[in-house]
Amino acid sequence: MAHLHTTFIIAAYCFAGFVLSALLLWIFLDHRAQQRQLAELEARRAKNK
Amino acid sequence: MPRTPRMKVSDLANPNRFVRMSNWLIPLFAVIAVPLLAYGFYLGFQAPAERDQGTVFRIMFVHVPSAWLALSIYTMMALAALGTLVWRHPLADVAQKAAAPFGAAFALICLVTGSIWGYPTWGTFWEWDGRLTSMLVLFLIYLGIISLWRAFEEPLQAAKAVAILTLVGFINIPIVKFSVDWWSGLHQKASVFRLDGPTMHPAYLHPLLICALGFSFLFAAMLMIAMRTEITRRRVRTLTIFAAQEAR
Repeated sequence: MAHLHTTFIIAAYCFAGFVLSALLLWIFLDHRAQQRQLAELEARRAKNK
Repeated sequence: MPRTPRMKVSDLANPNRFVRMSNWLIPLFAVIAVPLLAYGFYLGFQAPAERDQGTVFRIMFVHVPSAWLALSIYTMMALAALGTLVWRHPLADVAQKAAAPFGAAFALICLVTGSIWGYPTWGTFWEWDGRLTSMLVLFLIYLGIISLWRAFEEPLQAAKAVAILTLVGFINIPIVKFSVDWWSGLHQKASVFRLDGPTMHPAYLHPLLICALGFSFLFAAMLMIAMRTEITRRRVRTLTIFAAQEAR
C-alpha cells in the first residue's frame, strides 16, 4: 500500500515539476526572443537616422 | 536644503520604472521562493503519515498551493480588469495578460494532482463533484481568456474585451470556494481558511503554508518576467508599425 502511495506521490510531483519547468522555459525563451527583436529594430532605426 | 523627491503610487504605473524595479525584484523573489519551497517540502515529507490516508496526503503540499494560486491569480486579474476599465492603468492589462497562463498552469496542476490524489483515497480519478467541476470551469475560463488575447491584433482593443470576460468569469471564484459547503461531494470541506480557524494539525499546516508562500514568490518572479516580456512585445509592435510607415 505504502509502495503504491509512493507511486502516486511521485506522479503528482513529477507532473507539477514538468508544468512549472515548461512554463519557466517558455517565459525565458519568449523574453529572449522579444529582447532580440527589440534590439534588431532599434539598431535598424539608428542606422536609418 | 534640497528635498529628496518622494515616490508616489502613480509612479508605479510607469512601465520604465516597473522595468527598473523588476531588475532587483525578480532575483529577490526567486531567491526567497527556492529555500521556502525546499524547507516546506522537507517539513511536509518529515510529517507523520496521516491516520486515514497514509502517506498519499503529501500530494497536498503541491495540490493545495496550486488551488489557492489559481484562485488568487484570477482575483488579481479581476482587479487588473477593473484597473483597465475604470482607471485605465497602463500596466493593468499587461499584468492581466501576463498572469493568465500562470493561472491556467496552476489550475491544471491542481486538477491533475487532485485527480492523482483522488484515486487512492476515493477510488476514482474524477467525479462531477461541485469543487472539481467548478475548478475545471475555472481552468476553461483561463483558456478562454488566453484565446481572446490572441484573437485581437490591437492590444488595447483586446484588453477591454478580456477585462469584461474576466469580470464576468469572476462569478466562478466564490462558487469554487464555497462549492464544498453548498453541495455534498467527495471533496473534503475547507480546513485552513475557516471563520473558526484552521482545523488541520500544525504538523501538516505549517509546511503547507510555507509551500504556499514559496509558490507565491515563484509566481511573483515569473509574473514580473512575463510582464517585462509583454512590455517589450508592445515596444516591438510600435517600432514595427513605425518602420512600416517610414518605408512607405
